[in-house]
Amino acid sequence: MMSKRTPWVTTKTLPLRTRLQEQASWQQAVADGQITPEEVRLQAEKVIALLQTVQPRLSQEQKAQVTRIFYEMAVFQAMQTLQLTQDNS
Amino acid sequence: MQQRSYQSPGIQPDLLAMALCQWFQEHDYETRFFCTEAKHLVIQGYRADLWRSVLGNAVALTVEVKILGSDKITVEVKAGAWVDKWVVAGVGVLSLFLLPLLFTAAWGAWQQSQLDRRIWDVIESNLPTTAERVIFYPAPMTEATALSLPTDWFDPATGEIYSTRFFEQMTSWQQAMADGIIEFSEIEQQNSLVVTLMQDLEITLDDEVHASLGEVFGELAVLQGMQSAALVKILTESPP
Repeated sequence: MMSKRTPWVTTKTLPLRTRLQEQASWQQAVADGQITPEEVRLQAEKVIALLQTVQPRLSQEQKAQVTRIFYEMAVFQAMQTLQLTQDNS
Repeated sequence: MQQRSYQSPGIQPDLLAMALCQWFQEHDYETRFFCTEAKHLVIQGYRADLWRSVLGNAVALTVEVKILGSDKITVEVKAGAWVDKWVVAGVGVLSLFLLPLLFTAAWGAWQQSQLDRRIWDVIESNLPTTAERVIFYPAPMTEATALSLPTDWFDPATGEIYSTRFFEQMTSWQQAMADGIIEFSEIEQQNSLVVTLMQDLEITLDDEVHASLGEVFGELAVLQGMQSAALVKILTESPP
């Protein structure tokens, strides 16, 4: 039977940024126009809790794939951050 | 490490080394200068800046001048053991804000890139005007970098996510940073890599795990967006 699930990415053009804008937690965090350290901490805890939930449900191979994605996502974010700081320097 | 080679009649490595020593001293760096057995000139600068204290490390900026002939030199600018000296307990001021590690790591990378850029300016302004940059290439890299990183997601000591701490060891990061500047095309390329990896993974997952991981990626994107926003705010309000 064909799955009706929504693909993670539907376009090759900056889907991570699009995904960010669509997230309720992001909309909530920026609603007052500023991000507080407490909001960042809570979001980090939320991500860690989700990861701990999903980790045991992956095969070793899948976990390795996710691990690589995390590393490459970290590079992606660092690139974006660095470009932001270049623009602000 | 960044490496550039220059060629010009009248190129004087020793004068370049002296100029670098002078620049370090003028900017309050503890400075060392020595010649290796291979006759390479090595200039090192140390400084305990506030932002380095915040990051929990003291970087040793090293410039090595290799003499390749009477009119040709290769210069290497090294960041020292930037990541290796990372000490979570030393995060200091920023730890008061309880920000995850990538925030400060990216800030450190930015600071380092600014410093690298200034050093290259010093180098190139102290070469003969006829000097030509003949080669510009990053250090050889291997695909092994990602493979040698931890496969666990969490640091058992701190509970933090490992991936944020090792991004500077990734081949993709090193390649993009080889010239000290992140171009938009490099970000797009990295984005495409992430997309491809995600697409390769999702076809292997059942619907339930697919949905859970989709939530993880979404919330991770939010976390990263928050970190970037916080970084820009701090840099804007109180630049280092």
